[in-house]
Amino acid sequence: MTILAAALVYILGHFLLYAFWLRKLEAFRKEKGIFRLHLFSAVALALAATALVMSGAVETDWSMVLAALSVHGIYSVSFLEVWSLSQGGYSLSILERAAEAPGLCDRESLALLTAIGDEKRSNRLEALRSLRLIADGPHGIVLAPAGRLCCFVFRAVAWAANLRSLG
Amino acid sequence: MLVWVPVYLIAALGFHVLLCHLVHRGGAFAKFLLAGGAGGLAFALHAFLRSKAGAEAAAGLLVYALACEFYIFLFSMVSSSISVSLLLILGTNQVTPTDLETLYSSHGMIVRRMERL
Repeated sequence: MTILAAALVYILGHFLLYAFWLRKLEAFRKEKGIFRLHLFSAVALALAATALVMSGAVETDWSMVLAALSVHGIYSVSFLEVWSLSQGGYSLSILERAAEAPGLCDRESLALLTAIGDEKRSNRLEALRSLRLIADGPHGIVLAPAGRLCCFVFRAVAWAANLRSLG
Repeated sequence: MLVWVPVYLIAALGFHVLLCHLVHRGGAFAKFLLAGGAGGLAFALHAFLRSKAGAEAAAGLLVYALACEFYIFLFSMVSSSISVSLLLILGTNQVTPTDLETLYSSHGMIVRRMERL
């Protein structure tokens, strides 16, 4: 249990480091920076825990290494989810606009939200292109092989959870 | 106990699929809280009866919790992500960026989000 307790302290430290310092840095204001911060942290934790078990410095077994990594995984997935929602969610923009102009029925609000939607669609298309999930074909945009695989997985998830209204 | 994690996870996912297709009230998240929670409780009970509260049982529960968290992340993303919606549209149609403005209009995006909110 020593490794698990150490992992919890490490994760708390990781969060406090981000909350008080790293979030002010430009590199950690983008999705890629946040993703790398968590990926490198999980790899560092895995290496440290493995070294501790292999060297015999801590009397424990491999299941505790797995437990420590799972706690880090839960923390990272939750963090990424909350971070991406707070950074630029479309629903958040709608809520912000609703707070400014209750009713959201005025032309100005609708024009603003439509412009945000258009911009988001263009940005996401560019991101999908740069991730090589889509490509430009002779008759329009087509899915690349990796995009087809993602599409298959997402369709399976949408079927499993019976999601009818998407995006 | 770790070998039992996939068994309980598959059972929880199966229960969630059944709930989502057979019960029309409530969202996918609430239904997974029920299915995932039931699976977790059953796993914990099984672990306690087999090996008391050992390190392996705790590890198994945490791995199960991580898998559940990842599944919740996945279906939340599929239900609301713009990128996922674009991929799903492109999976069924070959379209130009101009066609996309009609197939996946900003107006539709606003309406769906407002309905959800």
